[in-house]
Amino acid sequence: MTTININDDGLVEFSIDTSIYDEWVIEKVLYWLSADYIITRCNDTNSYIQNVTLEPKDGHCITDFQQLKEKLSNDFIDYKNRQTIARETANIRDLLFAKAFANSDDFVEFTFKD
Amino acid sequence: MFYLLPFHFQPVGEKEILTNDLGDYLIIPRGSVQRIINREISPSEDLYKDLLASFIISETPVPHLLDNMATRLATRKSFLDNFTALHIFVMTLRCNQNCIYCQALSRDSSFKGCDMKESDLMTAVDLMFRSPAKHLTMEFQGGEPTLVSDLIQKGILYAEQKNQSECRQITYVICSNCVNVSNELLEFCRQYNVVFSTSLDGPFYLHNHNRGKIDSYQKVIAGIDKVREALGADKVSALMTTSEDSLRYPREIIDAYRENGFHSVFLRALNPYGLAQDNNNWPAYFDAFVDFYKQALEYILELNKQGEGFVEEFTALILRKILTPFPIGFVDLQTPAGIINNVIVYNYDGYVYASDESRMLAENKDFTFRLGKISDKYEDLFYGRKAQELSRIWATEYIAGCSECAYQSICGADPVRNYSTQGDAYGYRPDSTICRKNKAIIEYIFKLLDERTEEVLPIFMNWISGTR
Repeated sequence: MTTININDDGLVEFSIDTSIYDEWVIEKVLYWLSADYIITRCNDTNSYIQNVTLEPKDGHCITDFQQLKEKLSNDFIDYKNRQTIARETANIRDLLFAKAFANSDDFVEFTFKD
Repeated sequence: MFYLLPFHFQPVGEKEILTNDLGDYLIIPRGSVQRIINREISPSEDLYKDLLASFIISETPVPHLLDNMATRLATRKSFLDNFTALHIFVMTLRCNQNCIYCQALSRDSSFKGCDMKESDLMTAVDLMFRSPAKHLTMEFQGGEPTLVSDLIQKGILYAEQKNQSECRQITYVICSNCVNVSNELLEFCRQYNVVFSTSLDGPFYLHNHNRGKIDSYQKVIAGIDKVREALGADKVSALMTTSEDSLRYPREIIDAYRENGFHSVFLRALNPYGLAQDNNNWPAYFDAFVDFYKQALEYILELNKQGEGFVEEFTALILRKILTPFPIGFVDLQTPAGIINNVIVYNYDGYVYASDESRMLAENKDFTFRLGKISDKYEDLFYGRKAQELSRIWATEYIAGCSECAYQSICGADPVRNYSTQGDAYGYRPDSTICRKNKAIIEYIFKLLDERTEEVLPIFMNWISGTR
C-alpha cells in the first residue's frame, strides 16, 4: 500500500499493489469502510496497482486521519493473515465439518502414517 | 514444523483473541498471529504448547485428534439435532396494560377478533409434537395470554393427552404481566407445573414510566407475590427491557430485582419492533446500552464478591459459549440462526411465523417471515421454500462480515433483525447495531477473563456450573 493522503477535495486516496494484496483481501478491508465512505476503485493499466478513493458519506467526517491510516494499515495485514489461514486450513475445515455432521455410525477411523 | 488448523482472530488493543469452531480461545500478544503464520513459534515456547492444546496448530497435517475435534464441533451444534424446541403460542393480541414501548402492538382488552381459534390451537399442538425435540417448551404469549386462560388450559390438557404416548419432557411457560392472574388458573398451573415469565423493568418510577401507568409496578409486584405463593418462589422469572430512560439506572434496576427476591437479571436491549421501533437514534442507543451493561455488570460482580449470588443472564449465556463445549438454547445467539431451528410461532391470526419478532413485523402488515397457515403440512412449514431461502443466509460461518469474525461461534445470525433494522435479511455488518453491541459485550467479557481472571473466573464458573 502506498502513502495514504487526503486531497484538496477531502477525499482519501491510496494505492494498493494487487500482487501483494489480492481482491479477497481488498474487498474484506473496504467492506468495513463502506458504511462511512463511498468507495471508488480503479486499476492502473499495465501494472498491478489499484487506486482507491474514499469519499466520506453525508454525516461522516474524518475526525482522526492518523487513526484511519493506522486502521487501513493494520486491516490489510490482518486480512492477508486471515486469507493465509483460510487457504491453508480449507481442506481440514471441510473434513472437520463433514465428520461432525456425518452420521456417527459412518465414522471411519484414520490410520495415521506420519 | 507445524500446520495451521482453522481459527479466527481479532486484535483488541495490545492483544489478539484467537478462537476456533470448537470453542477454544487464546488471548495472546499482538503480533502472535503473524509469528504463527510465519512458523516462528518454537516448540520450546509456552505459546507453542498453548496453541497445540487449543487446536490452533497441529504437528501433523491431519491432527491425530480429528475425531475428537469433530465430536466437539458436533456437540456445539447439537441444538440442531433437537430442531425446534421452543414453540410459542400467541394466544391473543389483547392486553390489559398496553405499555408505551410494546413490541407486539397489543390491543385493548375489550378488542374483538384477535384471539386464537381453538381449532388452530389444537392443530398447532399437533405440529409441536412433529418436532423431534425430546424436550419441548410450550410458551404462551400475547398480548396478555391470561385474558384467554380457558384456551391456555385447553392447550395444555391436549398436549398432556398427546404426551401420554409421545413421552416428551414438556415445560409450560406463561408470559404474563401478572396483573390479573385468576386463582383458578393458578391452581391449574400448580397441577401441571406451569411456570410464569413476567416483565419487571426496575424500580417503581422506571417501571411505571416505561408503561405509561401510575400503578403498574405495584400490580406486577402483587401479581408476582401471588404467583409465588401459589406455585413456589422459583416459578416466576422476570425480564427487563432497557428503555432509553432505563439507561440512567443500572444499579437501581439491579437493586429492584434484589429487593423483589430475584437472584438474576437479563439485561436486555430494546428490540426495534412494534411501538419500540419509533423510539430513538439506534446507534446512539446501543452505544449507551453497552455502557449501561458494563456499569450494571460491574455492580453485579461487586455483589458476588461480597457473597451475594446474583447472575447477569446474558453474560452467563456468552460465558457458556466461551467456557463450555455445550450449545445454549438462546435463539439470538445461534448459528445457524434460532429461527425455525429452535423457535417457531403459532400466531392468533392462524399463521405460523419464523420467530417472535416475525409475528411482530406482521402486525405492521409485513409478512416476510410468515411460513404458512397453521393448517398447512409440517414439512411445508418447517422445510418449505421460505425456510430453504432463509437457510442460505442464517449462519455466521458464511455471511459477509461474520465469516472472518473471531466471535462467529459465540454470536449468532438473525435474518429477521437484519430485515427489520436494515431492510435486508442478509444484513450489512458495517452499520449493524446488533453486531456493534454483541462485539463490544463479547470483547468486554474476554477482557475480564484475561485481565481480571482470579477475580471474575470463580464467579463466572459459578454462574455457568448450574450449581447456583
